[in-house]
Amino acid sequence: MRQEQILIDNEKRANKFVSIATIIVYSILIIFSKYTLYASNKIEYKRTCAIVFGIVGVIVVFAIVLAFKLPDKFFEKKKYVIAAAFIMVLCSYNVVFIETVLIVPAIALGIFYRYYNNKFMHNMMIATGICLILSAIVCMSLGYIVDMNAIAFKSGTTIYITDYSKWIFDYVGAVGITNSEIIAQWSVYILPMVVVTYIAECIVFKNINKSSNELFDRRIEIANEMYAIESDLAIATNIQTSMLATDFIGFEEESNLEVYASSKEARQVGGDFYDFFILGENKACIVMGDVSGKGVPAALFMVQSLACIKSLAYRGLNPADILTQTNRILNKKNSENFYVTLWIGLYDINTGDLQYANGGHLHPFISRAGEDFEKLSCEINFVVGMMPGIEYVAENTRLEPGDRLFTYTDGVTDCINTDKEFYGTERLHSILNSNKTNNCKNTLEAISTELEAFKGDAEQFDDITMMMVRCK
Amino acid sequence: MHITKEIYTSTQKFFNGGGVKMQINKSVEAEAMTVEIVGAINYEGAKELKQFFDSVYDEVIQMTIDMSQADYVSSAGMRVILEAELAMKNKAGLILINVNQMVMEAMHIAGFDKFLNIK
Repeated sequence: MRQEQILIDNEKRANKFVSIATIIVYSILIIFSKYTLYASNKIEYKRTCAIVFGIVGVIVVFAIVLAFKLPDKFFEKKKYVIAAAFIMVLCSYNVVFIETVLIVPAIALGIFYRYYNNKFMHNMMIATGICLILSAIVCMSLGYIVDMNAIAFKSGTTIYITDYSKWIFDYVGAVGITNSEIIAQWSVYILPMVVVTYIAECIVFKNINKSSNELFDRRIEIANEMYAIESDLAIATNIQTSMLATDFIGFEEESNLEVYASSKEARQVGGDFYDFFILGENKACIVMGDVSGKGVPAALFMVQSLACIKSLAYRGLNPADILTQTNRILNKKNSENFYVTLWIGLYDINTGDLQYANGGHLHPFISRAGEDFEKLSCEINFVVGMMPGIEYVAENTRLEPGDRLFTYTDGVTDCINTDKEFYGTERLHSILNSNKTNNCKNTLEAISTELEAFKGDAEQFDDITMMMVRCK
Repeated sequence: MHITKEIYTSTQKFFNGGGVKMQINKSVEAEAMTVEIVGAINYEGAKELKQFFDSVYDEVIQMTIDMSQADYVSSAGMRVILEAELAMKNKAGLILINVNQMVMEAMHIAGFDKFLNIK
């Protein structure tokens, strides 16, 4: 589709280009024919030319207007109408400036080359060649001498120039050579030269046309490849987004934890992720993570991390062991030195105990029974996946009814406004506190709205991911 | 003793409405190199920085990164710095100096300060 559109756009522009060229050549013809035609003493020739030019002018204007008014279903034909007008003008030009018969076809080919269309170029080469030769013959049959070299004078012929305002053709014409003799001599001396030159011009233009078409095709191929990559990227984004948990209600019913999460990606596929899921009968797991970097590599690393964490969690490991093992697994095949910052919480649905471990992630905020939010104290551990042999530490707290836990990625606090200020932890802290009576969903939406307002016209350059759980 | 100075610049769309340049100023004294990073080491900047480091590892024995003018380091940027640390481990090492408070905090949370020689 895109390829066809490019060709159509090109043809539209080429139509305009050729129309303008037609008008310019016609104007040149009318202006300069004054000097050649009016100098000639053949009154009937002048009259014929004037009539022919008048008719050509009318046809040209009509053809161009028609070509631009034609409905779109005749789009293919438009270029032929315009090309016919152009050839007609060139033939008229040929009649007046017949000495230029070798150059005029090159102009035509150069103009038609603008379409980058092999078939059209081929047709126009034939049409232009035939029309130009015919017009030359018509011109000569009217008595206009083509080329001095085409005339074989009898030996001893003397020409006297008496009037400098006359053209030399007029004197030569007065020698008494008939029109048919001129045509015959022209056909012998000049025509072969014209034909050979024209064929050479055709070959040159055909090659130029061919190579430019190959370039054009290659560019289209590349464009299509790029398009395929872009759609792959769009699919990758979809897959990645679909890996994030969305069943807030199902989780709430089983775990007694109200949960809401949102992730707003920056331009590319990002590396932020969150997850919440039920383990066995009495455990719920909450994960928040951020892979370093962006794009498909980061997304792949994210998928790998998430798969690791999930399978380790289902095996009943505690959060610290999950991180330790994930680190070990990810580090083994990590030539690009990716890493992921992780925060994992394991909530005991029956007792309310929350066991958690942190791998280089931002510390979550916690609010106890409607009090102000404060940072949950976490052990500072190294990020996951980059260094072998790191032992992570698990910590414990309790979630009582009404307690809230807010985890997020650095996209929130590193959000930048047009004045190049960071959103920062303090702003986040105060908006959390002003929403502490709101439910999880409304709180996150309030934060998103405020971030959007803060950001203004600035570009979002990192994923913004947040998750909030509230113990019921 | 000769000192050479080169400046690498990169135009990046870090903030909307105009490219902000992350600039890498390199000065070499014998085989000790001081690299001053000016601007934000965001995702694009990190790529540039990685290219820069990859091109100079062979030349240097000791590297000092002056972070006084690096106002932001993304996770990708931290990865590149840590990679530099790993690459310099068997040589005289890598030292980070003048790290600003915000960057320092980010490095501390991610546990990078344990592995990097920050002064």
